[in-house]
Amino acid sequence: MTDFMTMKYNVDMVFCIDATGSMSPVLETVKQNALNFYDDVTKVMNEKQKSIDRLRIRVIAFRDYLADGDRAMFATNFFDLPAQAREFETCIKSISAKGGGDEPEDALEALAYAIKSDWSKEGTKRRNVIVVWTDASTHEIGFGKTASNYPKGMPQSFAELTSWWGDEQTETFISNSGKRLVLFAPQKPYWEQITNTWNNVIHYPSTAGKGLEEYTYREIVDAICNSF
Amino acid sequence: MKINEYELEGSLTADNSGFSKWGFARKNGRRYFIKEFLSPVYPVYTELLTKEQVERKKAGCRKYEEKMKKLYSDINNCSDGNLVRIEQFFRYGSKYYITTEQIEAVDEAVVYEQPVTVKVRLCRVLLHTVLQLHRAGIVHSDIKAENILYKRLDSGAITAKLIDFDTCFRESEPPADVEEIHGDYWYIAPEVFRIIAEEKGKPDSAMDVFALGLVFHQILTGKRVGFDANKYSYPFEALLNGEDLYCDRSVPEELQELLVSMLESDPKKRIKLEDAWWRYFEKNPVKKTVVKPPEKPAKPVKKPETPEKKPVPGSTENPGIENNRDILPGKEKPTDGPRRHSKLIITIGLRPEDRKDLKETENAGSVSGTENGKKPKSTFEQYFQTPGNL
Repeated sequence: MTDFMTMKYNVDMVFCIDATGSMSPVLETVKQNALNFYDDVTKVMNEKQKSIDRLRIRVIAFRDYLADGDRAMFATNFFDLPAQAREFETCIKSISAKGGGDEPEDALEALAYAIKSDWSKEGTKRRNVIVVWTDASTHEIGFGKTASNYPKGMPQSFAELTSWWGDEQTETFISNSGKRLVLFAPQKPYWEQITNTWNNVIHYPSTAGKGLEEYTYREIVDAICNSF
Repeated sequence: MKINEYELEGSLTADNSGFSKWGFARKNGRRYFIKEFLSPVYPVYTELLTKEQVERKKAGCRKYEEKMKKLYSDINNCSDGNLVRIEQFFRYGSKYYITTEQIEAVDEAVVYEQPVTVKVRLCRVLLHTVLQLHRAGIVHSDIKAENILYKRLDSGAITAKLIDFDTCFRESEPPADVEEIHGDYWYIAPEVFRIIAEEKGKPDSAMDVFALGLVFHQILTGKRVGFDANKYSYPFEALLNGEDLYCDRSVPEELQELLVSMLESDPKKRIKLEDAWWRYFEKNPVKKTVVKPPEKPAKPVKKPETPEKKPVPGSTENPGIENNRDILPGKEKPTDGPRRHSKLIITIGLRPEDRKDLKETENAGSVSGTENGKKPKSTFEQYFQTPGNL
């Protein structure tokens, strides 16, 4: 088979989803549209006269290490869309919005896992996008470290997590130029700190405790596609 | 909300913008376009970072500020009036912003309806404008139809303004990292794709010439340049794989040769804008424009039989070879087999059928049943695992 010299634009996305009780509204929206997500993204990209050659999505569901114990953090491998659209849909539909304890959740640990994803090195152009969906503030990193299931190797501070994200001068686990962090999160700690410290962050403020109900599905897809 | 004396008209949006958020704002009674950059970010929560991080980030920001202030100043200084004027570049809090004059733009469709003399004049305006950048040693690097605004002057005439200097660079200091080479893939020059794909080489002003050639075709004909859309998504792909681009026959005769020169695949052979200006525009050939009416309807082109058709992003034409395909004077008629370039066999990325790196464990949803008396996994457990240590 002859390979031509053609552009290959590959996008890897990691959805960090707050799976606590208040997040039912947006979780339901995502569940209803999971099967068509690839088609919807493709359609919006076509409207922007762009195309993606490969789209992979990974899901990290997070809660609270101290309040939720073993149910605090779960992650999948990457789903290759559209080939694994059905598995992706089934996966999303299996998430139950429950638990959480106090208002802040352990989203920074979810971000740490997301940053260290097994990003693809293939493709002429690559985009590594992390999307966070939450209606709560986040604990400082390590808040739940007394939990028996708290993992080893987590950054010890916001400064260390910041170094994992990298910047124009240092690149660690994720491509500096190709990375994007899309935050659907309230303007509360540590989201404000991240928006004003990390590069390549787009913050769509949400109302605390409302499960991102202010965003329609189309707005969410548009926002994600803008990050490409 | 106010950003440094600019009163925003609504929130900033990231629509159609990869590296920034933008919107409109008012200051002293005047309306401006305002853009907020996603990178770099000036450290303001210094208590959360190490001293070394703060110092390094601040030093990086200072270097960025000096570089961009000088670049924007040079862009303003070299302008012939048709580069949108940069009003201000500043930092506010942790973010960097640029404001420019706001243009009351005429719809692109109006431009396509203009007489050919007007369209040729617009090409002349744009070539001269980009030439000023090149004379100042600056490469725009993101020339595309969307970065050209058309403005109606008091006289009623339409002129063109070039906007968006986010990815401009000095030809003497091209991007050090291929990852920093950005731009719309449709307008990317063949050599720039090779630089990105092979991670060697440096882009230069020739990339602007190629992009401008594609823009000229759109202005002059109202259509994008043609190529075999069954096989390729972008003009550079067709050229790199030894095939031609097809220009509409309505391109004025005196500019056909220019377009061919601008869309030359080899950047060393591509015309420079300085030469283009003196050869085609300096003596104002607008008065000499001769457009031959089509003598007969364009031949319907038989679409080649291919197993599948690739959608052409944004194209309103049917996929496949353009129906009004025409070969410009001086170009060879298409033949089978390679022409200027031999077929290049280089693997860039992997096609879906070639991917062997997906492990079976990534195929989530394995069937679970009772094995050795163990409880079957829930659907959630089939896909989600507790992530281990980092």
